[in-house]
Amino acid sequence: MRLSRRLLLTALAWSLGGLPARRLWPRAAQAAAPLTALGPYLDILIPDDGASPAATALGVEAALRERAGADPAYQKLLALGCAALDQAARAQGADDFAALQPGAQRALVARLAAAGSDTGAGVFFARTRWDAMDAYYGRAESWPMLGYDGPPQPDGFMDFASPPGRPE
Amino acid sequence: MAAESHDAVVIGAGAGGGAAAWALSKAGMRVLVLEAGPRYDPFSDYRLHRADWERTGFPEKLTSDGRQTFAPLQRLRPRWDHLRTRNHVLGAVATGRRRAVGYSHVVGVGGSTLHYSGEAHRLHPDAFSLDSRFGVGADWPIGYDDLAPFYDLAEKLIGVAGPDSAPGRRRCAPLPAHPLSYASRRLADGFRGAGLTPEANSLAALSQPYDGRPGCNYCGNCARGCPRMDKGSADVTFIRHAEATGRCRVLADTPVLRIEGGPGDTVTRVIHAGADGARHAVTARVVVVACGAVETPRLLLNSDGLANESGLVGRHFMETLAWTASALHPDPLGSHRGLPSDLIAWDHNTPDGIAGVIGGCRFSSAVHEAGLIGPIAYARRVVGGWGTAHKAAMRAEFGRVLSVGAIGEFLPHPESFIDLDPLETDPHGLPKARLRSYLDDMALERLAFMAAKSAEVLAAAGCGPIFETVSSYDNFQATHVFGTCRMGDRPETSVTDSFGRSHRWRNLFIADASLFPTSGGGEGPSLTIAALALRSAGHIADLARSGAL
Repeated sequence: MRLSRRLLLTALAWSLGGLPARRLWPRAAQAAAPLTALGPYLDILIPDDGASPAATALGVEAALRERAGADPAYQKLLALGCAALDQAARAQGADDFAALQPGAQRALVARLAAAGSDTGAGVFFARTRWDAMDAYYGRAESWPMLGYDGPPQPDGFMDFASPPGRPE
Repeated sequence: MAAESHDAVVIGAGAGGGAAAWALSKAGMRVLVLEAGPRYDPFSDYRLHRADWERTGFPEKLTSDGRQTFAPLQRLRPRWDHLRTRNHVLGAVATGRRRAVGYSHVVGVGGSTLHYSGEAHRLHPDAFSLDSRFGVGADWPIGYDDLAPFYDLAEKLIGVAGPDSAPGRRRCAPLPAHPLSYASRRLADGFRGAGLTPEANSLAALSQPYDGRPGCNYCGNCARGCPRMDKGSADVTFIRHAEATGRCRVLADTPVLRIEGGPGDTVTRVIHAGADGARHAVTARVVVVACGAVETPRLLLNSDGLANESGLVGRHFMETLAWTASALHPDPLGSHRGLPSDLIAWDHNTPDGIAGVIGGCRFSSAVHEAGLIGPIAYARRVVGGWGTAHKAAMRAEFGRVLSVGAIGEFLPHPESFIDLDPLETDPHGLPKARLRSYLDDMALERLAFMAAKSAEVLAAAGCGPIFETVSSYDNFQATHVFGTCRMGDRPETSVTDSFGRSHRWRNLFIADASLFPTSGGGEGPSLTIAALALRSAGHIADLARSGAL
């Protein structure tokens, strides 16, 4: 029995358009904002760890922006999330999230990750994580570090009965 | 409109319709198959060679979403909270107060076999007499021995690969069983540790070249469509051979809208939609309906209640009782490799196989069924967190998931049935099917057994904590559906006789899982659907030769 894509999307448990913005977001964050925080945020979510590139290097920011271009609710979610990150950065004396040191950026992302699922921050984190992982690990460049020798065809996995080999 | 004439019209090109079309055309009849969905070209329509292979499921050209509606399903109760669908990253997956709804069956030439895993099971002999032996469900009007020769035939034509026997059932699988994957051999240790008897599953995937098709290359993605034709879906087996006779024509993208009955209790016309948007009529000596347990009753009910003299068309709907549990093994396994469901245990499959309940179940390897076989699934569902820690965990954990799947008996229930939605219609203005399905306490006790035993298997295999469970309890499951045009000996209590022939309409037959009086103890139904259809088609051919049709 497959965990269907439909079911997985509902598992996020929050309708993008269903929760009033004013309940979820600080008032100052509700203004429309450019998505300047998006790329740096995604590169914290999925960083360059020396063995594999960061998110933006594999087109993850472009993928999310493309999705936002076709979905006004998603555009709004990204705008509000990025605005919240910029606001939090300004509270620390930086111009915006992109201007923060990586350590400070990671601390803010950690606060997002710990936010409740009934908050805007929690919704933003869960949804962008979901989409970013799809965009990143749907790229073949991310596979060598996993020892994954896909795609499944045309070669299949004829070594299926043997212990898995891993690249040096 | 002038009607085109054939010996037989088969409505639906899945396991049942395909088998019927092949057998009838082999018997010399001119057969027209009308299939609502499109054709799929294995060499160009499937995406498993692409880098983004994991981002979609089966590449449906005609979505199955929204083709049916649901009445509100039952409320969830705290007593059964331990049977919920959960993931350690996503939390509780179904968040409402009632069972979550959703119905997905690929529509096309090949039907559900286009995206099935290829399990090719014979029903246990005890499954045919649940009422007389155990006082639940209904008896089939036939026994295992009546169906055995047709199981033989279906396995030969499909090219089933499997072991020589299973408890209570002899086999005739033409091809040797597939070797177990490395991961499944480790899981088999867990099966044995939990007191189960693991064996290679019987699968409609070729273990060697056969019938002009290559052997499987173990990509593990049967559910996304097989680009090699090594999976024995109905389009590359029954339909292909039917068309090769020169007496079978398949019209895809051709939904049937109604069937008209006439004098002498004879079905006279089949009305379908054409590509030009107009309605067209065909006539035939015999009409075989094989649209599945949801769409077959819908078609009959939308045909002024054709064949519903008993009032039972749409009743006795049975869905799939299923549980999947997944955990990480400490060792690298490469568990994304190999065939789905390559490993199975039948120890609790008989109707009395689970203490305290009627209706059995089976256990199988399920990491492919769980969709935990690619980098995206690992990143989203297996590995929590983010940042460098997430990447490190991805490297450490990729390929280490083991999953156990269990499927159990689903008994008929008065609150489980299909009717016509009073409000929602399809693009042709016809009412959609509305589904109701109910899990009673016996079903939930059975599910609880399945969950507990699955956990025992994973622990015995040396896995860590279970990180994901997927459950029918809070999530309606349409993987296998049955029962809505039950076969039987008495017109008062069934829709058709043992050959799927309407008790009233002498040239109307049904050839799909809507005939099943019971679901079985977890067996995949496609081989039984094909066997029933072959048996029925043989009977139809005999009737035609004798002039009775």
